[in-house]
Amino acid sequence: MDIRVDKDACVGCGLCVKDCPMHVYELQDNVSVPVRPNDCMGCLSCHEICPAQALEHRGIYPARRHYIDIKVCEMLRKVI
Amino acid sequence: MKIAIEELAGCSGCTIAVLDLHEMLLDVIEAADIVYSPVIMDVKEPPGDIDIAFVTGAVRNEENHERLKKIRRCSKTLVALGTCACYGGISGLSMLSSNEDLFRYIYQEVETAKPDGVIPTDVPPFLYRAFAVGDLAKIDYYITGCPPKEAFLREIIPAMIAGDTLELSRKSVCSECDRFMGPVENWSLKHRHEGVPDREHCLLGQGYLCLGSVTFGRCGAACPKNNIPCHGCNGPSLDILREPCRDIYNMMVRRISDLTDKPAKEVEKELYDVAHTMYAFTIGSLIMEDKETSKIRDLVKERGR
Repeated sequence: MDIRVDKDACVGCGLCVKDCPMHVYELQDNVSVPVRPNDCMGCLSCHEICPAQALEHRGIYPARRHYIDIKVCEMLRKVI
Repeated sequence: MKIAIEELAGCSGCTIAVLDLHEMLLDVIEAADIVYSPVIMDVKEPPGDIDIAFVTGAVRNEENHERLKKIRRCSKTLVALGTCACYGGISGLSMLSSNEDLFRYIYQEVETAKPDGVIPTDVPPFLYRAFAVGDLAKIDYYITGCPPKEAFLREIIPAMIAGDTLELSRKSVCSECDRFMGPVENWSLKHRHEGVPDREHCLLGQGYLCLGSVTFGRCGAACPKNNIPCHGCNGPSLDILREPCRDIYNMMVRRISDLTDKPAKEVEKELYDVAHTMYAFTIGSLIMEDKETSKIRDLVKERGR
């Protein structure tokens, strides 16, 4: 699993360390590091909890997705 | 190229933010003419052939609605400028009182009211609620911020006039903040006036209700960098806007609960004045109100009548 952490964005809160069911992350010098990326099961709960949106998983997509209102989609595309 | 800036229910701060471009304004007016802006020039009505119109402020009365319809008809591209236009902003907080209460307070109860206490009838009637402009008209772009910060407008306005595209960060305020999480022990919610926050560590971790994690960036985390908790003036972060099950309130409760190991129900008990501390800038937005988990409907229902 290819997990990237935006080191500038990460605030070192440790919520991903706490939240990850597979213990993928560890805090090192106040920055989250994915030390066991191969254990990741792609639930993306870390994305949900990260306050700084610092995490990126390459090439995986959530299996179940909620319906997103068309009005929201339209607005989302236009926010600059 | 013709540019216009229309004012609806707002404070004109967004137009002043455009003036904050300072010398760069000279480059802007070289490339484009500002043909209509009630705050900075004396033109009463928008001409019919505007290329880019910026609309600032929310829609709160019938005049605002008419003006919005007119500027939409007159312009090729309509841009919602500022949080009032995008999400209802501060004007939306008026929904916490009934129209009768608002008028009574403004014309009879405040100290500066005229002694005769007459509520005028020759002003545009109020609509039943506040609206973000996107709820009532087709908008081409949204620029959030209360006001949009000039460092950001410096990039976006020239690019817009030239028709260029830009790569900009789409992350939350936390991603721009330079604080780190400190030890979180004996956490309890503090009001903003209590104590002086420590400059190094996360304000939320220290007990202040900082909305950085649920707020769209673009401000360089100006408030947290000056020891003031974020109050969400840039509107919701894009993950909150996108995901139907996420809302400002429930994500704040969840993050505090995870951070402090307190059950969510306990955290909720400590929160105070949710309308003003969490939804101060988004209460007028139908998009934010329509979320299943949104508290806005309950907050508006709780008003006097």
